[in-house]
Amino acid sequence: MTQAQYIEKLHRHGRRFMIISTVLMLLVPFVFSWINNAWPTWDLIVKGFMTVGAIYIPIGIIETLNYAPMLGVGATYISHVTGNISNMKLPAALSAMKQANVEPGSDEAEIIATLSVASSSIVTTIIIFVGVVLLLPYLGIVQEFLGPVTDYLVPAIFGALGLVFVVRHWKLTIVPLTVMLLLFAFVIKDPTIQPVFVPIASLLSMVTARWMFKKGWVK
Amino acid sequence: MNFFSLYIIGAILISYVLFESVVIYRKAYKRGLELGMTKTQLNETTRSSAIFSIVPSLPILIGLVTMIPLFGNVVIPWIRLSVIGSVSYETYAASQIKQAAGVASLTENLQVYSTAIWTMTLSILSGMIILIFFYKQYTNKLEAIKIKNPRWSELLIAALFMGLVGTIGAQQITMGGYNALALFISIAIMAVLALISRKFKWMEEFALPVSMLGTLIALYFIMGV
Repeated sequence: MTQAQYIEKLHRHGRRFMIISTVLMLLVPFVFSWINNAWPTWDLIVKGFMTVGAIYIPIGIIETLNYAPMLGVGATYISHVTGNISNMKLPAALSAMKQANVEPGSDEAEIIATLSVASSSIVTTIIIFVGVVLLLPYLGIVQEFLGPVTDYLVPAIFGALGLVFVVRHWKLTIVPLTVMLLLFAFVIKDPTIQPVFVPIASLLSMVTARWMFKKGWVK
Repeated sequence: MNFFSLYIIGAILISYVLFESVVIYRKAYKRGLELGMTKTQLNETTRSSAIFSIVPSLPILIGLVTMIPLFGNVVIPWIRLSVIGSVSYETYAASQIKQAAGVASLTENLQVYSTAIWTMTLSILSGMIILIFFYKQYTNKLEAIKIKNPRWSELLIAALFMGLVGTIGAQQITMGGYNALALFISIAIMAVLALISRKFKWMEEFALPVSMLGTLIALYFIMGV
């Protein structure tokens, strides 16, 4: 089997996986409405789409196009059903690729990323399930101890992971990091909105990387 | 309100996703061996990713608990956090509907409740829909870039990632306080571990989880002082 054939099969499988998952996800509100005979009202659904859909539908599309090249095919399908991509699946996959010494985008990286994201998804699903069943009565206590620190999980992951990649491609970091620092310090000051700028920063980073590549500053 | 049937659908959905993760994992594993990768390499990836994922899973669990009062049960938070979505997204979506309907609690009105879960589900599906219809063409395009210029293709992926690192890095730095501190502690621990693992190769596997956990432990003590 060639890599192209493997990817082709993966797409066929992945598509089926997406369709069945979408249907099952939609069954949750459907069955709730049906059993309780409570269907959403139009005015509320429209309001919901204006405040939630209008933001998250475009984010979902752009994020998918942004993360897919980094993750590869198998990992993209799994991570788009299981979620937590930027804070868990992507760091896991990138760190695994670095450790296995494979270049992102290569045939080997496709395999490493898939194994990494699949194991990460399985572990999280099991932890959540076991946690719900076993720990529910004690979770208040866990929250009291861990709660304040877990707010800082994102910097705790991105410091370490960022360092590895910044050292390797430091020239590519300068423009996106500087622009984002200026933007967040002076214009967009609300940290809850800031992650929405990831695709814009990626686009900016891509354009400057292309320019540096053409100038021969990065090889 | 009747939630029993939702436990069954939740169990089916989550088992199905788990099953597919295992199936795709096995396919990739087999393909990896075909490509001449070693079992040690593949198993190491599995182990290190599994270990890494334990700590970031805990806040999801804690987030789940914080969602229970909003939804009045555990089944909706459990389903929504086991599949795509996040504590912040689900809470935001549900609160918007609650506000729009002008109720004190979602559970007091069935129609409001139903609208909330419909909105949460529909607004997060766009990524999956894109994958169903356009992903294959998109990968073909990426593949064409790779064949035309392999070096640029590598840089392109690195550049996309730098967008993420730049945004999150800038966010944490401008937030200042413990956020910036956590970022720098994590960088420092990783720098030390990277130097050590040059000598001891096996350490590499633990570099990321140890940096992450080390940072959280350090913060716990700093915040306590």
